[in-house]
Order: sequence, then C-alpha cells, then structure tokens
Amino acid sequence: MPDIKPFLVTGLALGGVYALSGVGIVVLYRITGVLNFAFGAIGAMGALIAWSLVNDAGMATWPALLIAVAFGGFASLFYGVVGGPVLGGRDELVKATGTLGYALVLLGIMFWIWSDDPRTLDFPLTRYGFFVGEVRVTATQLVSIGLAVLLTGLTTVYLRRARLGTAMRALANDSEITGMLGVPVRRVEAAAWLGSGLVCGACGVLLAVQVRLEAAALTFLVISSFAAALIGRLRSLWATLVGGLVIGLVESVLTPFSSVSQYRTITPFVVAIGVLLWLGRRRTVAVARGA
Amino acid sequence: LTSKHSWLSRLIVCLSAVAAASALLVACGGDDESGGGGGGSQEKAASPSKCGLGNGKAARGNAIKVGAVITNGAGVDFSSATDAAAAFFKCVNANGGINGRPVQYTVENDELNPEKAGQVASKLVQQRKVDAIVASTSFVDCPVNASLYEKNGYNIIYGVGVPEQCFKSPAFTATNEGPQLSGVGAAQYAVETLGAKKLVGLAPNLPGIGTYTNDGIKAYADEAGVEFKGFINDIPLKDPQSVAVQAAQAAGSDGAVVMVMPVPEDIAVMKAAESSGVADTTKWTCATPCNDLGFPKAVGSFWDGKIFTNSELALTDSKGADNQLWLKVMDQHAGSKDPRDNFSQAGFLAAKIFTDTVLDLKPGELTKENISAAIAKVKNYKTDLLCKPWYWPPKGADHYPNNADRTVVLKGEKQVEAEKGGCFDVSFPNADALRKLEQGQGLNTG
Repeated sequence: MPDIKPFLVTGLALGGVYALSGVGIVVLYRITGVLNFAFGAIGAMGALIAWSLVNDAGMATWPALLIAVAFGGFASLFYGVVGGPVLGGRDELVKATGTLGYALVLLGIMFWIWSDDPRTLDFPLTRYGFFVGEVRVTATQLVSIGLAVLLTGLTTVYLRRARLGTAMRALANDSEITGMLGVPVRRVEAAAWLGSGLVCGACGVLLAVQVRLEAAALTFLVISSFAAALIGRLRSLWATLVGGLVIGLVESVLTPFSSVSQYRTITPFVVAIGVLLWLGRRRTVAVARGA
Repeated sequence: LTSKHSWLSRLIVCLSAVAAASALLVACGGDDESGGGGGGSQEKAASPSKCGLGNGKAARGNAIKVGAVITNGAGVDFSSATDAAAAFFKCVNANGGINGRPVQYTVENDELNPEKAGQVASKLVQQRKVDAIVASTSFVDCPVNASLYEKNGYNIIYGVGVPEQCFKSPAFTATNEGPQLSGVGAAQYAVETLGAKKLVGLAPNLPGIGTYTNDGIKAYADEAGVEFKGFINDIPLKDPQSVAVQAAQAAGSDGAVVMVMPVPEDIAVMKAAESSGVADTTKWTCATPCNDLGFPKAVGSFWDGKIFTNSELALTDSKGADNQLWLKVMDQHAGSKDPRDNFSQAGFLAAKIFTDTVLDLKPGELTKENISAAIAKVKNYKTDLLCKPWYWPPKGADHYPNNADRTVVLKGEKQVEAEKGGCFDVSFPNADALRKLEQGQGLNTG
C-alpha cells in the first residue's frame, strides 16, 4: 500500500481550486441561468495581465493581482451587459454556447498577445508555509480552500439576507415575474456577472500560481470544476464546495496507485456521473414510494 | 514582446470588439567545436559559413518549391523552426539562390490536428507538388504522413522530430535527437556525473512519445545497473504538485528525476516541487525542451545549479561559425519576436544542410527526384551546431545521425555548459549497432 499522506495534502489544494471555481460557476448560473464556459479564459487573461504588469511594466505584485481580479469582474460584466440582453430570451444551451464563443475569442487574443512562452506568476503568499509530513503546505493553498469556504458562506448569507440577494433569488426562480414586480432585472443580472467575474479573476490568479500560467491550460482546466458544480446540481453551493474538495482528493490520492494513476484525470467526470446516478436513484425510489 | 506596453494596446483594441461580437454571433445563430560551417552533399572540407552561394546577388530564376509542416496551435508552437528556415532561405535568395533559382518556401500548419496534418501534407505533395520538404517540425506530421512522403519519394530533412515515427520512417532524418535520445542523455548525466542510483522518468501521454521515451531511459538504466521507474501523465498537467511529489518520492535522495515533457509541463512540475518542499530531496534533470530562452526566468533563481538540461544542439550564444550565421540571419531576415532557441537552430540547420546539398545540382537538375537522391548521399556534414557531423543514414539504419549531445545547467538567469560537460555519446537502445555501422561506413566522424 503506497503512502497516500502527501497526496491528501496535494488533493486538498487541488480540490480547493475546483471548489472555488465551481462555486463561482453555480452562483452565476443560479442568478442568470448562464453556464459560463468562459470562466477559465477570463481568469487566465486576468492572470496574464498581472504577469505583464509585473514583468513588463514593473508594477508591484499585489496591485497587479488586484487588477487581475478587477479585470475578471470587468470582462465578465462586459459580456453580461452586452450579451445579456441579446441572449436573455434564448434557452440555456444557446446562452452557454455564447460563453463558449467568448472563451474561444479570449483564448485567441491571449495566444496573439502572449503566445505560449513559458511564464510563472509569483504569489507572495507561496513563500509562507509549513510541513505536513514530507510535503509543504503553502499559504496559497490555504487561501484557496479558505476562500472557497468563505465565498460559499458569504454568498449563502448574502442571497438570504441582502436586498440584492433576495432579488437575485427571485430572478433565479422566475425572471419574468420578478421583472413585473419592479425588480430591475438587468441591474441585478449585471451585479451577478460582476460578482462572478471577480471570482473568475481570483480563481485565475490562484490557478496560475498553483498549476501554471498558460492560456489554454487555464481555459480548459476549469472544465473539471463543472463536475463539482454538477455534484451541487447547479443549485447547492455547499454541495459544490464539498464536491470540489472530494474530486481533488480522489484525483490526487489515485496518483501513487500505478494501475489507475494514468486514468486519474477522468476522476471529476466519474465522480460527477456517480453522484448524479445516485441522486437520480434516490429520486426514483421516492417517486415509486409516493406512487 | 519588443515594446513593454504593446500588449496593453492590443488588449484594449481587442476587448472593445470581442464580447459584443461573440454574443451577437450566437444570438443570430557552449562547447564549440572549432570552425564548423559549410559542408554539403557528400563529404566536403569545411567552408566559410554563409547563405548558399553568398554572392550578394538576388536570385531571379524559376523558383524551387519547398514546403514544411509545423504544429502551431492548442498551446503548442513549433513555428520557431520554420521561422528560422524561412529566414535562411530569404538570405539564400538574396545571395544567388540555388545556382540562380530562388527558394519559394511554403509553411503549412497542422494545428496539432491529425486530420489537418493529412490535409496540409496532401496539399503540399499532391496539389502544390513541392520539390522538397525541409525543416518540418510537428507533433503529428510524422505518424500521419510518413507513408505519403515515402510513396512520393521525398527524403525530408526534418527540423525537430518528436514522435518515434520521425526516427523510424525512411522518409525523415531530423537535425535533432528526439525525446528518447535527449531523455537518455539527461539520464546519463544524472548517473555518470551526478551519481544517481535511481532514475525516474516523467513523460507525456502522447502517441509515439511517452512510452518511446521511457523505454529508452529504462534500457539505459538496465545497462547502467540502476533502478528505473517511469510515469506517463496526461498533459496539460492538472495536478503538477502530485506529479512532483510522486516523482521526488520515487527517486529519493540518491536518485534523479528525468523530465521529458514539453517545457510548460516541466516548469509546472518544478514550481510545484519548489513550493511543496520536495525540490531539494532529489536531483532534477530535463531533456532539451528546458533549454528554452524563457526557462531561466520562468523557474527562477531557486533552481540555480539544481536543474541539468540536455542540449541536442549548441548553446544559443556559442561562437561557432554556423551559430553566429544563424544569429545574423535571424537578425537580418526574421522578426524581432521570433524566438532564438534550440528549435530555431534546428530549423536553420535543416535549411542550411538542404541548401548546401542541392547547390551541387545544376539549375536544370533541381527536381524532386534529384533533390531526394542528393539528400540521401549526404555524409559527414560538418557544423558547430552539432557535436558530430550529420549524415543521411544508409538503408536499414536507425535515423539518429545526431546521437551525441551535451549538458547545460542554470546559472544566474542563463543556461551554461555544465561542469564535466562537453559532448558525449548517448547510450540509447541499439546505439552499439548504429555506432558499429557508422564506424564501418565512415559516418559521424571528422
């Protein structure tokens, strides 16, 4: 039996990233009905801008990282404001495809501006850490997990307590009736795009630091986070959080088992399918009992 | 980027149009060996390094059609090889061409898509009917198009070969060594110079690359009497930290990790090893991809003196005549943003070997058949860009004319020749048989 302790540590770090991205995806979906496939591309572009600000413009790291997060908010809001009204009446598949188009356009721009030259983004918190067994846990990894938990908690509370949050929940239930009741639908949706974009920006920075700073990898890495969002059935933030952490742990812990190690990258999808089947089975049983 | 702020202006211009467009669309639907230079078809005495005839007269005759296939897409950009070849051909055309005939160089991109690779190769071979194919550099061209090229009688001087088929098909002979030999070269340095007792290979899960690479290192490890453990991972790596921890654990304090992956993966693993505290628990070596100009800055000073990289070609700042010509040609005929890296050197060298070879043919003899026949006769082409002379292998031999290399180490944001460096013969599988054949036929000498 291989020693899995180091991989529990690396798995939690990876899971934190999945969870954070997954929560950002679910928040936007609940409010606007848009599954944002551009989540990774927006984050990647923010991270690359931060890299250029530090390395080309000589800016200090923290302000550059804040600009990356702000860029995420801007790029997401920009799409939401321009694309929102145009796609508002279309079905969810069309809305999701629109974001895929946006992702590919952003990806093209990133290749044009930054090509695929090797780069790394230094995150000051990575210098701090402590050892658990043989593996060092960095402050960046703790921030990823902490931010995922904090974001989930704050969003849950905000949606329940704040006026805008209540409007967002109403919008998620029925946008037409909400609009008829006098809620400024476009403004509420714009707020959701902005908030989700800021999460994109933060995820982009954290992924760039922990995985790599490369446009294509970051754009498509976030696909795994959709598995976490599916586990939360695109509704539950807490289930998404737990789903992300579980996927990261399972994927990482499989690493030292040579017979399955090569196939561990399919973990997010296997876990998501398994959970969805299990949830579907429970519902079937409930319906059968009701009958 | 040449200008510090050019990226910003591009970004602003693009963003103003992007989101609207996409939404609306959906709504509507080193150790330099002296002299170098010259060479040519068959065995020749070294001549001054120059572009073709070097007479300063623009070529005006009927063009010779030369093609190439590269991969540039999905995060993989090999265009530096053909950029350098194109720059060299421009220089040749400005210096008399191929005995008065200019080279018309057409580069097709396979975008890392096997179907597209087949299409662009057919376009070059069947529609354009190119006279030669030179300096191709692709992940998918060799496995997809080898039989097409063989059937049509091309002998292709490849730029940078990567999949196994680039070294097994009689249609190709590359100027580089390929991932197997470069990985074995890195492993050899780890064992013979760094004293590693265990080797751990990290290779990408790509057809014709992952197993091919690790098999080569394993064969060397068996011969050297050291343990070997190989890992093949899907790329791009999603969890570089797990990969780094796994590799460091498997290698241990008396072992070494040999990374044979594209450079972004190598860098991701190294940064993960650094942040997770396992970097100093073992030794780290890398195949040629880490000999990239952006590599030192990307991995940072932490890795100074700790990462040993195999180098299939000369150091990019070496003073050899061919290397200096390459730098000069790039300055005069290539874009300022075109990389000056090992892949660029390889593309330049392929174009130079081709040019020097076909200069032996008269203008009226420059047909596909005659060009391929001339290339097949190249023996001991001397160049300071390689450790030993290059040749087109005889029938039945392995296509590894470049089978000796050197090691560089990161020192102060630069890769410099490692201590106890210099060129050494790579102990790849079947090396003994190939060297015996080379000795028997007087190849790879001089």
